[in-house]
Amino acid sequence: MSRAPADTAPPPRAMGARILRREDQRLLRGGGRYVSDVTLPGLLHGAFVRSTLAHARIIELDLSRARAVPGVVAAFGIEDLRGLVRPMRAISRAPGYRPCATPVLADGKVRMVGEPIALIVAESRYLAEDGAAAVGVKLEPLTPLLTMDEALADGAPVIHDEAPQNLFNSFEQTIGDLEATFAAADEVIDLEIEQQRYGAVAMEGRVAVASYSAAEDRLTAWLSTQVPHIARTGLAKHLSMPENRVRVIAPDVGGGFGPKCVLYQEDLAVCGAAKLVGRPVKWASDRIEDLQTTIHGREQTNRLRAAASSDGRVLAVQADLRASNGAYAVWPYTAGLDSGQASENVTGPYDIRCYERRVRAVVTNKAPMGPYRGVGRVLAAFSIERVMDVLADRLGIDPLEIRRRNLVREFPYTTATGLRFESGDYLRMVDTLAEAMDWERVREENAALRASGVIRGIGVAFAVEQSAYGAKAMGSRQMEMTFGYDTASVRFEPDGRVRVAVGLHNHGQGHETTIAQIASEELGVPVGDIDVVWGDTAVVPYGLGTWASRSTVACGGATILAAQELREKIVALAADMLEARPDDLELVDGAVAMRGSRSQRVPIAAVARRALHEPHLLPEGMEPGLEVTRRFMPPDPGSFAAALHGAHVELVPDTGHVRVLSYVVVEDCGTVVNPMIVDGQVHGGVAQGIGGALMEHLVYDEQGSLVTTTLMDYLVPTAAEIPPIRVLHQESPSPFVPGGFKGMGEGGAVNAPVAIVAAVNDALGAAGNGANHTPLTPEWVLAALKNMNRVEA
Amino acid sequence: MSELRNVTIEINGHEYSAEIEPRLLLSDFIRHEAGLTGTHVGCEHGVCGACTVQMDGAPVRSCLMFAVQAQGHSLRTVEAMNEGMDGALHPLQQAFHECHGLQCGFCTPGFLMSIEPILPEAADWDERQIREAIAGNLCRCTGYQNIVLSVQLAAKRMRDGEIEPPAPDAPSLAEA
Repeated sequence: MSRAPADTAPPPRAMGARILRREDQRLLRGGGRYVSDVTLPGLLHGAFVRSTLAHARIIELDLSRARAVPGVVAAFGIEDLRGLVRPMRAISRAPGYRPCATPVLADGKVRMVGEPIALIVAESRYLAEDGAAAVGVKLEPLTPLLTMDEALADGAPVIHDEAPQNLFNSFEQTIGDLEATFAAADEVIDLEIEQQRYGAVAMEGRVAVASYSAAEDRLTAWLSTQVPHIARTGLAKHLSMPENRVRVIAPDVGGGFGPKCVLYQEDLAVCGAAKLVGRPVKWASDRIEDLQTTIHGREQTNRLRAAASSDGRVLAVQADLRASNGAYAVWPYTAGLDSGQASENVTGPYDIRCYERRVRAVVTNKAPMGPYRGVGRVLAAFSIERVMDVLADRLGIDPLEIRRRNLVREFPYTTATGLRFESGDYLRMVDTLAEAMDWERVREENAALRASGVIRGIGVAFAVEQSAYGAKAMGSRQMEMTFGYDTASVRFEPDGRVRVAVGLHNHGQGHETTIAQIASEELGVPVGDIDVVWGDTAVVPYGLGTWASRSTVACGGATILAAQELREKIVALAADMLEARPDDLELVDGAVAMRGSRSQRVPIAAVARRALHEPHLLPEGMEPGLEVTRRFMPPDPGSFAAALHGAHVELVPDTGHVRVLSYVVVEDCGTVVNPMIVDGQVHGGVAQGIGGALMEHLVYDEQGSLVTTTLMDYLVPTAAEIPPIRVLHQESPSPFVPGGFKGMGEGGAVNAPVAIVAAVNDALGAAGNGANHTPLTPEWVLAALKNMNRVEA
Repeated sequence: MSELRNVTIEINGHEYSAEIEPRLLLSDFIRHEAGLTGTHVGCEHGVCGACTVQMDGAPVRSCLMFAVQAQGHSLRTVEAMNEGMDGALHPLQQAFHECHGLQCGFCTPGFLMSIEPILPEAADWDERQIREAIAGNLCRCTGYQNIVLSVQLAAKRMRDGEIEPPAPDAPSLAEA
């Protein structure tokens, strides 16, 4: 690569550059520090005894034999922890929501397989498991309710007394004149969309380490969490401790994807145990525990009706959404996430003014559902994109053309449910995808190949991504706490190096690099001189962690605000040092310089030294130090990225496998901070989405036991199942966010299952009455191929 | 608890001795007895590959072996990957860095240990072959694309000497 000589080249811009990640060095050298790597003097190890039944009364819990096992230090049931750890109760005061309690250990009843009943603490994990094996549990089975139909049936037993009819949540909303619109419609489409239960399955399971100092009444917990401060608030609350005596450290975390936003019973139990035994305690989930008890996602249905005109405009949509939320509502988010977010997004990126939603979150005897990458929005995209494909098929219109006719064209645009798409150019995204996939030619080729027995199809999925929820949007849920801001504290050290402390959590997203890029852009300090710290409540200001694609918007925005304020002070101080007017100065390349002058400049390091080590030389009235903390509230109801995915697939007639031949993503997340990192986020999301479309499934048997408890049974895609993914960028900055960012961490996982299903349906020549469910297993594909051949014959 | 055994295992050129239970997994010995926490445990049933280390030069899943079985063998873990390189990264680690072949980093040491021995052959492989070859390790963050690029880059560099890292949107070096 040829480079311009250093003295003539413009200073490299940090924003938008493909800068390699800072965090890689430790992670590549085996120097990452994950919670399971934490070791402390006197550390004990925990193992949980878990329910083997989905719904049962606990008749007897006998811990005496476990306590006698060599190496076992203590054994705890609910009676041992009741006075110390309060049950969690995720609150929403929104109409129709029923809060239910989650005890730290099962309290008289178990509601799901894997529910923790007892905690054994021993000198090693091996010995703790010996102890767990010696615990006597007698359970009296109750009827397990595993499907939503069973749970909602008249006379079904009630899983939580607080939730009659087994409903966590139930509400309806009508926007516009549905009746008249349907009556006047040329076309009415009825669909029943069904998504299976699948989940994040991060490569690192959940881990907790707790250390308590009775002398100081201080608790330190290392948690593999995405939300250190929310977890701290939760620990303090449920352990009845002052929050300023609790510290949560979330160091490197081996993948989050949502489920690590939740406070779990095990986190509280480990802290309680550490308090009671007076020694630190560690628990690391094994893969079976992780698959059984870490938040699941997706299991939802949508009975859908759409009204359309003969020229291909969708005029009204009616959605009846149900989510199988499992046995407990997760703290602090409640059980309203999946169905609520799905129902807000059913109209997708389209201009549809007439919308009705009926929403139910159903209690079932399975693991809880909660935040998982693109919560609820997969079902929403699946629903409206199926409507588009069915309508296109009925009217003989190309699938891209039907979308062109319905897409939102003018921005800002507020949807029927009140989502405001602030900027974008959705039509251009369609054109870009058509060109990138060579849409017309591939469709013709696929048709021609059919004669020779090659069965190929092409499909698309368009979705908007509500990122960085605003405070009012979160407040409308009336939860125990309202999120909707985040924090950055930017400070210069005396040597001119910069430290940015942020409230986000970094578990693969590259924030140590991108936040440094954002700060560098504002401060004129090289990226290499900026250190980004996060993940320790004793080190960083209160923030709300990383989820819902919020970090670049919320913390990036806060970083810009703090850096801009800091910049003013730097310039004022430099003006004094240079005897110049502040207006004549600029920050470039690590110095404050007179515009147009090479000689009149002062290095930022000298300014920092003046601010911190030469207070006697400061201008009259100026406070020492160069440090600013700012909080940014993202716009309400959020910042809206958009993505259009296209998949080209081939069905293998002998095996029923779906081979993904090529995959293209056109995405618009506003200002791109680092295209390498954006692409990486898209790739990972698409892979999870392809998994969800074709193979990932958390399967319960008829007794409510999870069958897929190993990675041999729960199939995560390998490199062999994932195609090369091409990512094309379009940049429509958000006018409401400093820097113009929109979040984009989840979208890959939202569109991908839908695009794959569309492509398979196209291959089967069955857009009109094709698959409305996932996963499209080899068995299903084989049956569909058989059916297709019968029809064609 | 069963009777303790005294084992000595060579890891990264150092001998580690400990009194251990025969049921102690090799992965736990490496992490907790030797203190080499760069080796990660993702499933403990031999599927995910995160715990992969090299035993006598060949990749093995350290969660599928008991530590006592490694007595007398020579192990190598990610911590020793760039040994003798004066602090620089091994070409495979460097390629992962340049191609963004890692995100959360949890699966990465296992990938590095699995891939390193196949690099001499991989320089002649197409993308499909590389995908098949690395399918024994799971990653949940990257979608594998940049891991495939990392393998291509490292393999070609080691065979041909220095070449430029790929353009960010290049789907594959092999296609370029």
